[in-house]
Amino acid sequence: MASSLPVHETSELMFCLVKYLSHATSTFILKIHRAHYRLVWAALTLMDRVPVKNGEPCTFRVVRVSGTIRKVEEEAVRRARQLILAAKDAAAAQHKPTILAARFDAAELSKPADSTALVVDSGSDANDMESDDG
Amino acid sequence: MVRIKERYLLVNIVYPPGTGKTPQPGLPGLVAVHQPTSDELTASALARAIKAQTAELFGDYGAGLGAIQGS
Repeated sequence: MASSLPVHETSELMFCLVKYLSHATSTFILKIHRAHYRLVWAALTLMDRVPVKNGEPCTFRVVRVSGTIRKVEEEAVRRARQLILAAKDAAAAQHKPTILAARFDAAELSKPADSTALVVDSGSDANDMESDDG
Repeated sequence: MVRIKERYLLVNIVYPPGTGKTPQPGLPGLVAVHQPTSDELTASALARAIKAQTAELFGDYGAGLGAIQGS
């Protein structure tokens, strides 16, 4: 359930406003006065449970600070998309990993131990860099 | 005309491995870390918790500073 929760409580003085809360992606957006957002950030960093009854242990990670809500939303969408792609990759890797992996394992085993140390020519790199600078 | 300056914070709730309940086996670690949050979490509960934490860390001073003018 991804629910956008516009909070329009009209109390005159509110603590940081929760502009958006998505359970599905475990993401939320806070609105805070610019001078004090670090206070809230620090508080978030030190919170270690979901603030519900018998909340699970968790970590609150501030991933973007911005002056406009538009940029924050864009970042949220970007991250969600990236996460889905990464999860798909992980799933794919989990389900059909083995042909290459088996090859590599076999190669590792058959290789003699001392052939792993391989010195790549060490002479000219430093000189090249210097001449590039000049 | 004075504009109130704000900052918007994008926050993720992540579940690092080894802290909570173990998710079902076979779930990739990445997905387990970013698993969904329980629906019991409400915006007001969240705001209250942050306020409580700020008050704990910074006392009444902090609890006051974190406030914004309601919009």
